[in-house]
Amino acid sequence: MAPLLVLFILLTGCSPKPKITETTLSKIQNPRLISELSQAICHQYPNQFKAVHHVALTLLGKTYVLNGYLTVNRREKQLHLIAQNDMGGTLFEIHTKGGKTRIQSKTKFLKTSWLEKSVVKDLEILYLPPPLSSPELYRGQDNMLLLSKNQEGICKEYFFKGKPSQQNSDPQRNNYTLMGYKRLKKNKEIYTIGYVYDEKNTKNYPSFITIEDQSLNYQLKINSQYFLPSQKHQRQKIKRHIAHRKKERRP
Amino acid sequence: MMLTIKKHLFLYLFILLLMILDSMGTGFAQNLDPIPPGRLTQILVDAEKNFNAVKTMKTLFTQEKNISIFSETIISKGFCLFKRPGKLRLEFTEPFKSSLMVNDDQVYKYEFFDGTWKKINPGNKEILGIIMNHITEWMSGRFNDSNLYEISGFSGPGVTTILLTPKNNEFKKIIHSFELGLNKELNGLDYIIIHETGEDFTKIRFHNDRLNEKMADTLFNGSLDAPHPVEPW
Repeated sequence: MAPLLVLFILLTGCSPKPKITETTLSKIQNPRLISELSQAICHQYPNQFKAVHHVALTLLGKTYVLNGYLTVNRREKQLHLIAQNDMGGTLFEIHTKGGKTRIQSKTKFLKTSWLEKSVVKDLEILYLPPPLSSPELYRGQDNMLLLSKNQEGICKEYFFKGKPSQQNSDPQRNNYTLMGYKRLKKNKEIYTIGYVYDEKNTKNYPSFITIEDQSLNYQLKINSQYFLPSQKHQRQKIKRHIAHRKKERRP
Repeated sequence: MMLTIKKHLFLYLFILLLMILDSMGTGFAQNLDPIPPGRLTQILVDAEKNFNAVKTMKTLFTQEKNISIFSETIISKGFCLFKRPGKLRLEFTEPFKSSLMVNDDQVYKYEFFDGTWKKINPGNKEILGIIMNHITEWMSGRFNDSNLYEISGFSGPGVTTILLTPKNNEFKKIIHSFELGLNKELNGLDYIIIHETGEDFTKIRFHNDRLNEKMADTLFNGSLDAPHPVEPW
């Protein structure tokens, strides 16, 4: 499956119409599916969650291993990351809310601009992606779907794979899993993400993520562990929400 | 009369609860009594002598990471192998696999991604070497590096801890102090607490340790594509 995905990615160009033969990739006119896939990108994760990332950052041929402790509140567009050396010791702490970033602490060896251009950008693409407006949808081999949007010279492409058990059913949002993302400039890849899902992971969140930033010349390999709000916690939140709404409706 | 008994019972239960909560603490040295300098010197001499009698050591560990932004304690597990004088292997097995080895001054690092071990070229090899050298020193019972740390000792019933506070301010920004919990026999470590910035700290508890068993050099062979497998114990 992986070589097929690579081939698919290599064959796909960046322009309003992907450069590929009609037999390999065909345009789909299905506004509902387009809308659902666009929504799926934005709602891949719950509104609130925590994650531990075990990260290998490769830069100039050297690899640095870090552990990232992350809390996400997607509704508030809020991220809080504490990054530690894998042998202990905090390297930096970043907080973003509504597009504003605050570097709460960092070792003197790290530049603020680098943290903003790399770490913050990666986290926002992974966990707070903005919705795509009027993207185009293409179907490739093996029920692979490509959602593409070209805006201001940058092409954003999301790749979806049909779930094996449901590949022959009607294409619905829930039948597809996000497998990758890439950003292209003048038909040249400048940024790619790949997702791998653990078969045992019933929550359907990626257990392994790869990121390659060709402009800044770094690669990340990320093992992920997620901490989701418990059902009890969610029920309590719903109860509080209902109580709050009832209170609001009272004259 | 009944009301007074109830009051006393409530007070008793309250005090009991406080005692339980206190005993459930993290084992911070601050809760123990300071060891006078003369006594501390003797403990350090005794510990080094006892630790030196250990030629090989293998132990399992559980790491509890407490991060201010997480309400959960993040648990990791692994094992540690040590063979005197200069072989050390520190390997995490859960939830992520990662292995770090020192074999006579050479540092090797492996990471397990997407189902495969990968040997990596660490960018911070020198720092890793220093950290591993530190751990090797501690495994040998040598805690008193006065160039790097202010050293102090604390004790309580059945507990002796050594607190190492970095002298270098830049180092101190990353790690505030190390707390080493010595076992009753003063020949091994029960735990290490790494006090990081703010309220964050990491506690590593050692358990199931085996001393002076035969240990093959191949377990520390860093020229392989993957860490040499270790028989569970």
